[in-house]
Formats: sequence, C-alpha cells, structure tokens
Amino acid sequence: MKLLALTYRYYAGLALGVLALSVPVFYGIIQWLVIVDVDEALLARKQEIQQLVVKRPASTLQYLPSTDPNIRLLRVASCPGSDYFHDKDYYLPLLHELEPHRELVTCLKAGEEVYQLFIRQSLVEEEDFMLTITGLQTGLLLLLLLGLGLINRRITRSLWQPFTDALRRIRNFRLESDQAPSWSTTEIDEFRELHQSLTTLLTRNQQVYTSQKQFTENASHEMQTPLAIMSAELEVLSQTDDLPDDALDHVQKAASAVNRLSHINRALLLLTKIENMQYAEVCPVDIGALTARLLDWYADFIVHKQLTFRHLTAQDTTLSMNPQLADVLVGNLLKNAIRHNQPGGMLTCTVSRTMLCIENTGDPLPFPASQLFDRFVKNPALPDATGLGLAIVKQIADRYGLPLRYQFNADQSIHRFELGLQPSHSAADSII
Amino acid sequence: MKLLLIEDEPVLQQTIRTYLEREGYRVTTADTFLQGSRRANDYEYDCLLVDITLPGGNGLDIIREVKQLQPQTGIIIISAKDALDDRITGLDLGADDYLTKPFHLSELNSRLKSVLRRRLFAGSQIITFGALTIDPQPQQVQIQGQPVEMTGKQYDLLLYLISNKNRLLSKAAIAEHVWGDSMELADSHDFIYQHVKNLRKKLLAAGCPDYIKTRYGAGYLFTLDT
Repeated sequence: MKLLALTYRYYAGLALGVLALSVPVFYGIIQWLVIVDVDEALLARKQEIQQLVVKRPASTLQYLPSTDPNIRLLRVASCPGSDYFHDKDYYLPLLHELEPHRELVTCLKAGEEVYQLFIRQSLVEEEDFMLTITGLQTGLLLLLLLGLGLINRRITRSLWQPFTDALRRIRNFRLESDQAPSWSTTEIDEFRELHQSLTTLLTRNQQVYTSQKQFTENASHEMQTPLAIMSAELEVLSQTDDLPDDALDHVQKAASAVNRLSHINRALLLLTKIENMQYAEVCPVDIGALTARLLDWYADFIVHKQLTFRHLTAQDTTLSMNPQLADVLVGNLLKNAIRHNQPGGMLTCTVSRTMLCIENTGDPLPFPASQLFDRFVKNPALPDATGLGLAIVKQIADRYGLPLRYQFNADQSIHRFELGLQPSHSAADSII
Repeated sequence: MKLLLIEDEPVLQQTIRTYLEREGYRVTTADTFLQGSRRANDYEYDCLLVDITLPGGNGLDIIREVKQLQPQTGIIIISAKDALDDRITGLDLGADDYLTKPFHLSELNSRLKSVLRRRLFAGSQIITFGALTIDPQPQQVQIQGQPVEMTGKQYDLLLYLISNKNRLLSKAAIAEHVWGDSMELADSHDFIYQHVKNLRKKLLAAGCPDYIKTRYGAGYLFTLDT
C-alpha cells in the first residue's frame, strides 16, 4: 500500500466520522432552537388570549376556538396544574395527513369559570427548514472534504517528489560500479537529512564492499601461496629417485589432500565473491549452446561411465548474466549429474524456453533433500567431493532470480534438477 | 634457455628454480617488483615467469614494460589471484599463459615448453623422443616415420608425458592438464588409467616401444629407460 493512499484513507475516515457525528448533532441543535422559538411564540399567544379574555370574556371564549383551528378550550372544574408543552400529531386537512405539532397546555380563567386551553402550532415548516439546513450543511462539509482530499493528494505528490526521486536513484545504484548518487535539491529538511544519510550509508557500503573484495582476494592469495608451496614440495618429493613405495604412497595422499584443500578454498572464494556481488558484468548467454559446449567438454567422462545420454534443445534461450557464472552454474549441474550417476546409467538434458532440466539415475540421497543445496553437505561415499558444487549453483540461481527445483523419482531412481530460465525478479532489484 | 622467475615467496621460488634447472634452463630469480623490473630490463630472457602480487608493485606493470622492449620474450603469469580481471588484463598485455597457484610443477614445465616452442620456433619445432616424432603445428604424431591418428586428448596427453619425461606424473596432474576444470569428474582413478591404457595400446600397436611406466598407485613415468 502506498503511503499517499494510506494517508488519504485516514483523511477519508476522519471526514466520514466528523460527518456522521456532526450531522445528528447539528440537526439536534437546530431542532432545539426551533422548539425554543415555537415555545416562545406559543407563550406569547397565550398571553395575548389571556388579555383578550380579560377585555372581552364572552365573545373571546365563544369565537376564539371556532376562528382559530389551533386553539381548543375545555371546560374543567379546576386547573389541573402548571403549564406544559408537549409534541403531538394532528390531522391537517390541507395536507391530508397527520403532522407533528407543538402544543401548550395551560389554564384560562374567565371570572368563575375555569378552562383548559390548548394552543398548538404545526412544525411542518420548521421540519422542512431543518432538513434543508442540515442537507445543505452536509453537502458543504462533503464538498469541503473532497476538495481538501484532492488538494492534499496533489500537494503531497509534489512534496514527496524528492523522496520518489531518491528511491529511483537508489534502485538504479550499483554498489560495485557507481559513485554515490547526486540527489535532487530540496528545501525540505527531512529529505535533505535523508539524502545526507543515504550518501553516508552508500559511501560506507562501498568502502566495506571494496575492503571485503580486497580481503577475499588477499585471503585467497595468502592461502593459495602456502598451498602452492606444499603442492610443489610434495611433487618434488614424489619425483625423488628411488623413493620407497610406501613413502610415495604417503606423499600422494598428502598431495591429494592439498589438492582438495585448494579446491575447497577456491569454491569458498567463489561463493564469497558471488555473495559480494562481484562478477557484475553481464552479457547475453545462450543456455542451449552453453549446455552443448559443456557436454562436449565432459564427453570423455560420460563415455567412461557408459551413460546413456540424451540432449535435447527444444528452443534456444538467452539469459542476461555473467558468462563465467553461467559456466559454473550449468557446469556444476552437469558435473553433479555425471559424478553421482551410476555406471551404465542415464543422463538426460533438456533445454526449453522456460527451463533447463537435467535428469540422472543414481542412488537416493543419503541426506534429506532439503539439505541438498546446503554447504558441505555431501555423500559420505565420496570423501573427495567439496560439498560446495550445488551450494554454488543455488547461490548463482538466487542471484539471478532463477527458480531451482529438485525432485527424486524413487520408482525409477531418477534425480531431476530443474532450473527455471525466466527470472522471477530482475537481478537489479536484488542488489540492495 | 634463459628464464627470469619473479616470485616473492622464497621457498616456492627456490623449488621452482631447482625444478626448472634440472630441466636444463638457466634461471635468474627476483624477489621484488623493483628487482624484477630491473633484471627484466638489463638482460634478454627467453621467457619470464611473473607473479602478479609483488612487494613494491604489480607484476602486470613488468609485463607491460617487457612487452615494449622485448616483444619476442615469452611470458607466463603465475598468480594466486584467480581474479578474472587480472587474467584478461594479463593476456591482453601479451602474456602467453596464466597459471593459478597452486599448480603442478609438471604443468608449469609443460606450458613453458609450449610457450618457448611457439615463441622461438613459431611452433614448428619437431619434437622427437625415441621412436616418436611430433610436429606440433598440425599436431601430427609419427612412429618410425609412420603417421599415427590420435584424438585431441590423446595428443595432449602424449605431449604432456614427453614434456615431463623421466618424471613421475600423478594422476591428478595428468587429469588437470588434459581435462582442466572438469578434472574433478576424474575422481575414479580408473578414468586416467583407462586413457593412459588406450594411448599405450595405440603406441604399441604402431610399433612404438613401451615408454610409459606405471608406478602403481602413484602415477606414470615416461622414459626411454627400460
């Protein structure tokens, strides 16, 4: 949800609340004012009638009720109590329906006779008046809120401009290649602070990135050099004339351990470098052609294992990625399928527009499938493996947003690796 | 053949030097960038072996200088850095090859020979070994004057064995030389054995004496001695 939409939602909520609350309150107040006004008028009328009764009792009592339909007289024995007002519906012949009235009930004394006097006034006009006023007020309020909302929206949009601009720049920012971005100028303190903080953050990230890159390279150098010494010394030792067989055996074992260590070191370095977003340069890579080239390169091993081998390229697919990483990605998947295959087994490699699918026969995994792409998870039967090949595959696939799936068909003993070739997100988005 | 080895790690420098001297090269060494640069300028070498990370500077700069002054000199970079940038820059500057540490000395030896062949004889030097004659230019192998058909991998293997004659070559070194990055697939020792066996069969069938000696469990030796 967008910030603007959310703010607007709050505004609208407030507006509706105010409206819902204010309309009845407003209506109530107007009604109260009207009643007060009507009551005053009725009281004035009563005084008028009292004065008339005092002046001309007989004629007033005789004609008043018949000339004014709003007045009734009732002869009573004694005055029932003090004056009071009440609301009552009366039939209005003109409108042919019952309408609300306000009625004053009071006593009238004419000499010895006591009358109960009812003076009423129709509230029809007042009702209409109230409804009109309330409606008008509601309309005005709504119009005001609507206008406010629109203006608010437009203003916030232009006010947030530096923010959206900064966001765009950060999205396009490349840690490994770009200078810290220059921001658009703004008068707003908050955004200026944001820009300053971002510049500081990005600059520091770049420093960390550079030093980390330096570190991995130095670490590589520092580790590979002693390994190179060990490897060279062992080779010289193994070529010593007349070295007894058992001594040679020990030397070979040490040499193969050095070899393995060196492979692990290189694989870990590769993982670190991918994590550090090195290998930034990309170019179009034809996955079909790449697969064919690698399979050709591994042909000796496929023949040696006597694998039944099928390679289908249904449709060429080109991905934009680092060519070196593409080599490692597809290469590791294929090597995995050859290495863990059984002699005389099957290897199928299919490239379609949407996926690269590699199937190989082989024993079930000696560990849970969920750990397949974890680091240093390997088949105990193959101690020479680094246990990093598929971890690297996963890392590269993740980096380019390529979905990677693994399935095992227990009936036919077939391992199936699927690499989706349509990135689920642009690789650029994963930079930050 | 005169070589200049610029390598700051003293033990490695000494070992490489001894190894190459046994191969019959005259090896001059340098420990630092300055020394390396000075020696490279003072004298003419057939090939330079240069480490990139050197005390006092970048080995790539030495390559740049040497390429201007003595363009015919062969150059092999030996670096612990696997960085693609360095590899590409190095080869762009005119280096003939790039070896990442750790490497097999036999691999260095084989690449050195290949570079020298290309540099000094424009690749046309005929290699002879006993009954074998190899012409590197069309990659042709002859046994006692009769041509023998070889696959690319078999040719690579044979040339590697000849380049490192009289030296015990481990299966790992052979696998790495012939199959490069995919050698980890050769983890079954049977794989190299099979390929060496096929080569030997082919050579024997063509009337070549058996030069390949197996040292069980350790590797192979290519030698005229019987």
